[in-house]
Amino acid sequence: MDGIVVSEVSKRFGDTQVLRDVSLEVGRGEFLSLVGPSGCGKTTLMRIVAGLEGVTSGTVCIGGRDVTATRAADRDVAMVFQNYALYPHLTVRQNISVPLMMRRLRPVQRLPFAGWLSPSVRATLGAIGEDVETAARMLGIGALLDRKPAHLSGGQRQRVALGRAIVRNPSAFLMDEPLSNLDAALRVTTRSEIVAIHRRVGASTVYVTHDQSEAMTMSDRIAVMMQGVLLQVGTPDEIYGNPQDLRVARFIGSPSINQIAAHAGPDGLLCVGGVSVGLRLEKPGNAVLAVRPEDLHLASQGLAGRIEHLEYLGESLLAHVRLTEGAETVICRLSPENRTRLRPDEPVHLAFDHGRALVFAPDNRRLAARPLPSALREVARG
Amino acid sequence: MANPAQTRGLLADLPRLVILTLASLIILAPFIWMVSVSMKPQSEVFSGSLDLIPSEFAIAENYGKVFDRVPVATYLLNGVIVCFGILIFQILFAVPAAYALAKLRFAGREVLFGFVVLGLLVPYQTTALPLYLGFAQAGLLDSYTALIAPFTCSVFAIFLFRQFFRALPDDLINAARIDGMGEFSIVWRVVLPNAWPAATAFAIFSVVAHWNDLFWPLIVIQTGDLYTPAMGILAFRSVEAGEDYGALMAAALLVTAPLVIAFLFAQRRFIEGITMTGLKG
Repeated sequence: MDGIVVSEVSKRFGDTQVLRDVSLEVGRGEFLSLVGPSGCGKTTLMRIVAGLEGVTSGTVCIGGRDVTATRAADRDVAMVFQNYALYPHLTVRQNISVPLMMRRLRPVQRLPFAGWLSPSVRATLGAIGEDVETAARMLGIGALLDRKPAHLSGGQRQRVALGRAIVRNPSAFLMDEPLSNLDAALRVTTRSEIVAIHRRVGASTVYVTHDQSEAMTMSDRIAVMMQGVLLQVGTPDEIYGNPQDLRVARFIGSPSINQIAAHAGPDGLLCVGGVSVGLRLEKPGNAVLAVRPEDLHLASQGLAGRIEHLEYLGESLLAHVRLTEGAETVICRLSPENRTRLRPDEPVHLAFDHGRALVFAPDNRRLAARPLPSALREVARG
Repeated sequence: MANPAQTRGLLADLPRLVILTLASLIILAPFIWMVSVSMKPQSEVFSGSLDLIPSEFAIAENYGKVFDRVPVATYLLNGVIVCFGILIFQILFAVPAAYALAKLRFAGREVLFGFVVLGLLVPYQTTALPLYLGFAQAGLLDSYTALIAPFTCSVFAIFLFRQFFRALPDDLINAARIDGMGEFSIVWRVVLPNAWPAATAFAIFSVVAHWNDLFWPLIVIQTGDLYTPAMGILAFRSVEAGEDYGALMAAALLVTAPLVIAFLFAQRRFIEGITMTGLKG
């Protein structure tokens, strides 16, 4: 496999274990997002791939080559930093050409007047200039080439940082929260531009973000990390619809998934506050029933509750419902027409799609839950 | 509309301006006097009156005497060679050392930095004797090497640059590493170009100190051809038997002027450097 392969990497800083046996494969040309709350170790993992940080144990391979002991300069990776890290003393043109100069010219050829003395150096410099122009045109920053970073806006700096990364066709492309310093509107447009650039460049990409909506919209696959452990790796669809860990389910999706304390009796029937919800577990015990807001809907029967608060979002209506059984407030995404019908304090019943409900053990593991046949459900309810 | 505000601003600033003007006059007084005396004939220097503007100008006479009796140009050239020789080596050695102390992680870094700080506490007169003996044994006395070499490793420079480099973002250096630069390229291509305020500040400290230094040149130099500007004034005074103050002040002015001019040019950056390195009182 010639993408990026991280095998059983652990990292500790003094007494703190930052990464625990993390293994991850990024296929050639794949766009993989590394998400997790801040401090989960995702940036450390990326810096280890980049070669800016050593490993305590484990190996890193890029393009089929073991680079665990290789320094960053020789790894053929490009990286976009959160604060862009442009060279403040160089113009945009010089900033973008630095990686090419460092790779295509020998140290003596990089001396200030080498271009005057040697025709071959002049030819190389010409080629570098053309590549820089091409990259700049692709990013729409052709007009800014002679400015210094201090005279650019945040979005423009971000493009220059992207330009510096793509200009040399790296075998791996790393991005550390590149959109976090942009305003909300720019973030959304740049998001799709990055995806388009990735499609064009085709390098294996690792994209670190704490923003689950970026991860969902941009990635081929998502890796969710928490406390130095990789919880789940999968397509956005799998991560959203079929999370294997309650922490993954909670982290992905906005508003976040509803969690309802539940208990399975000796027969395995899952009950919320003594009322069966129509799911059967393999073993009795406490559990957490997790349902996405859009999988809940109003019904004549089901979980009883009272509307606490309504949020009208235009395309949908969020109803915050305090359940009668148990103390939880759940959020339910309804179609906007309900706005005229519903009032705070109104008693309602909520039902959910049993095929899409998720059940987790108290230790966050996913539990298998089978929906009862609807006939049986009626009996249980009766 | 802007007028009342401006007037109020000026009124509020007035006491400050007056105090600053008085203070700078007190500091400038000896220099003003030096300029004035350098233009006066011998008779007027010793007259009882305190006139700033001489009644009779003796500029040509005084300055002519200086150029006549001692090779001023040689002394100034020596000053330039020595000061810039020292400065170039100081930067060459101190910048990589300061970068390593500020940004690289290695065992013993704090201890090494402790030694640097310790070095700041040693006055250079203490090391003069052993250095002199060393140069004498090596047969290097009375040479540019003897004037330059002892000052090439400046702990002050290491300290100053280290404080400044620490403020540079780590990601800037990481970006350079990813772009393919080695540590030496990073030092000269990324770190130093972004540390100009600190470099200017240090350059001024260094050049002023060594241009005016009399102690060390007096110890190691015998040949008149190698005299530094400060020694040159000394030589002029002994040649002139210390009587002709007009000419002496003219010599002093010639020696001081290059520094003053250089400082005026670098003033802005110097102040930037001082504030950014956190050295201000």
